[in-house]
Amino acid sequence: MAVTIKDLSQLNIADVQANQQRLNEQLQEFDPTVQTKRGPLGDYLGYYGAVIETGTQVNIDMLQRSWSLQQVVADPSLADDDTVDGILSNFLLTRNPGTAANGQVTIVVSQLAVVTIANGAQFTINGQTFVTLSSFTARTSSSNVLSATDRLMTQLTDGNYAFVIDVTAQSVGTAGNVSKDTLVTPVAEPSNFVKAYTTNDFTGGTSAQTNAQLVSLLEEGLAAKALSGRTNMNAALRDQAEFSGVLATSIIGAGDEEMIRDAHTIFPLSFGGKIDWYIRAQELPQNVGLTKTATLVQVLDDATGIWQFNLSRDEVPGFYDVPRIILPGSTAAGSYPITSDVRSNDMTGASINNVLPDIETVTEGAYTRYQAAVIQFHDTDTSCVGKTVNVSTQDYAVTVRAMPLLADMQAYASDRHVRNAAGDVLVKAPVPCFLQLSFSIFVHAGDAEIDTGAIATALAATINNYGFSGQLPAGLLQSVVQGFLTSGQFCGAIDMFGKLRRPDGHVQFLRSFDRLVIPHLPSIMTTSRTAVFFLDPADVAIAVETIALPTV
Amino acid sequence: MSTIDDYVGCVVDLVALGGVSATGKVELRQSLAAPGGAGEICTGIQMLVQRFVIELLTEQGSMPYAPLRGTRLMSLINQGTVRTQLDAIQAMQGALIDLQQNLWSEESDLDPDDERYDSATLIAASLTNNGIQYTLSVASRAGTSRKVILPLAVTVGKVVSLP
Repeated sequence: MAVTIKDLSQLNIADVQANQQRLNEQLQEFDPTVQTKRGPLGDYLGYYGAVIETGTQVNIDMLQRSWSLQQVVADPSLADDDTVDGILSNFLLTRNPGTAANGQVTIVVSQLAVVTIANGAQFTINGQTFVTLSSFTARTSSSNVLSATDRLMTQLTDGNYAFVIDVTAQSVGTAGNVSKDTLVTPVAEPSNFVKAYTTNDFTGGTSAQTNAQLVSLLEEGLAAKALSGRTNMNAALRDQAEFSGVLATSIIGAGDEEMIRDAHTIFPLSFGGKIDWYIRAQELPQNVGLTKTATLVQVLDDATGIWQFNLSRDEVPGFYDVPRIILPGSTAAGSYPITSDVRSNDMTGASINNVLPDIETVTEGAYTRYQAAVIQFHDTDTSCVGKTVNVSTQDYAVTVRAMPLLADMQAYASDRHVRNAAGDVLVKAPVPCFLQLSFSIFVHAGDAEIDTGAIATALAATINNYGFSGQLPAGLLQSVVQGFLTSGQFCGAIDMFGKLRRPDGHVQFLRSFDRLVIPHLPSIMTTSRTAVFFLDPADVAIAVETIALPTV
Repeated sequence: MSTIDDYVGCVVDLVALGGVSATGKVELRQSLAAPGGAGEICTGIQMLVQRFVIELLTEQGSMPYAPLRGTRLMSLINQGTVRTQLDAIQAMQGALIDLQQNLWSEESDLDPDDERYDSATLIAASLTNNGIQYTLSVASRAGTSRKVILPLAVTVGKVVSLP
């Protein structure tokens, strides 16, 4: 266990001066003839002695804080990481060192010709470096696609060709979880290169656990890892390597207002035995890109049509919504408007090893891996002249937003050897409240430029790690912003705008400059214990305004 | 001649500027111990003058945890802003204000008067080929004083003849 020795140049000046004064007094008591004012003895014994002693004190303090579990719990940020790791290993806890994000990049080229991307090729996305972990070869014909690293080139509507490769972030951390359709810059451009962008949202990027996060799991380290009490359930989940990065959970069970499923009888009583497990697997939902074949279901007066496609329960399990539908290859902004979003539950596939949870209504099954949907939308571009309703089809590029790992976690919780023998566990993605923030920062003329990007990222990190809080105080956000400002600069009122998509399918808008509160609607399983806030840094609008000072 | 009784109640310091003579003009030796020697200690007015010289020649800000110790004299000279005799006098007068504040702040009424700083008088300041030479008189509260000559070998502005 290593404790980092503090550099003598980074001591607190007041501490050194206090130590020098005390040393001088002690030296004078020990030997009244010693001169402790300015001079060789005063400088060497008093000044440098105080510097060395202060450095030693700092290191001893840090060691004491690190070795004492009580001190570590009191203030985890002050303890040495390695020493805390050592202490918490006694409680069967291991620090998550962080993981690198990974995802797919679509590369667009102008010619239908074989392209090879070398192993270790680098790409820059949002300032982060990503690399390929194997070489990829883009093939011009499907007959030449012979291995997992052979990728088929497909023609786009603009005449170019595209293929997809896999990349991984060079560094661990959540910064690597870049969004779908983000511009990708290759360090060395492939031949015939036109552009590159992220195919889907990248996932899997987690930051190394801080001491505070690790200490907060102390209880889980000691708990039996079984689907029993709430602490035990969380310990069991995080004990699985693929779920160790889960950010927050909320378990609704017997006696909770939000538990509806345990009252499926003719009697108006709750009988227990059911668990709704809301799990936030990562900071933001993942945007998943799909190509869906839609069927024309209605022709409108202007000869455009309403189109329909299905989303099965396995395509994007427990998805929240469909934020974008466009024609494949289209670069137009926006999306065709959705005219209908009808959810259902697909409860097929029950077996002795796969006992399905008891779900009666669509609201109960919302945001679970059993949810399916039929989506209808209005394609405002395609003419339906000559097309036949319920027969004509067309492909669309669809973006679906969902919390990842939901199906895997449900499979784990439903496993015969894992689940409580008398239990029924339904894993759900948290009820989402998608946030937008806007505010002004007031500065003086001549001040250094404000890094609004860093502020937006810090705000998102704070909110996305705020757990099941049920409310979001503006003061919390103000304190984050203030950390980026210098004396004389200040932040104006923060407009917090939330879009709550409830399990019953309704969208409820929330707005406040003071405190955004999740409404208490237990009958549709929407309360502070089931809903969370999501903030994408791109949804933060910051105006920097210069204050004109009066001449006095 | 002083006796041991004269030093009862006094404190001592190591001699950093050795070779001091009560009278006459001698070049001091900057070392805690001469080769083959064991070092010396000093007290009284000699210790006060040593404090004075060390404080005067310490660049203010050079001690990270005592940023107000020292004076701005050497900083001004090293920056090349001292180009005339008037500059040299002004630099010293400013330095003596810092110095007085620092020395007085570490003294107490219990200290013997001949170890307490009272004042310093600038007797002469001249620019030489090698730098600046100051002559000062340092006085203790006991009324004793010593003359200090400081030849500071630094680069100063020189007059050059233009064609």
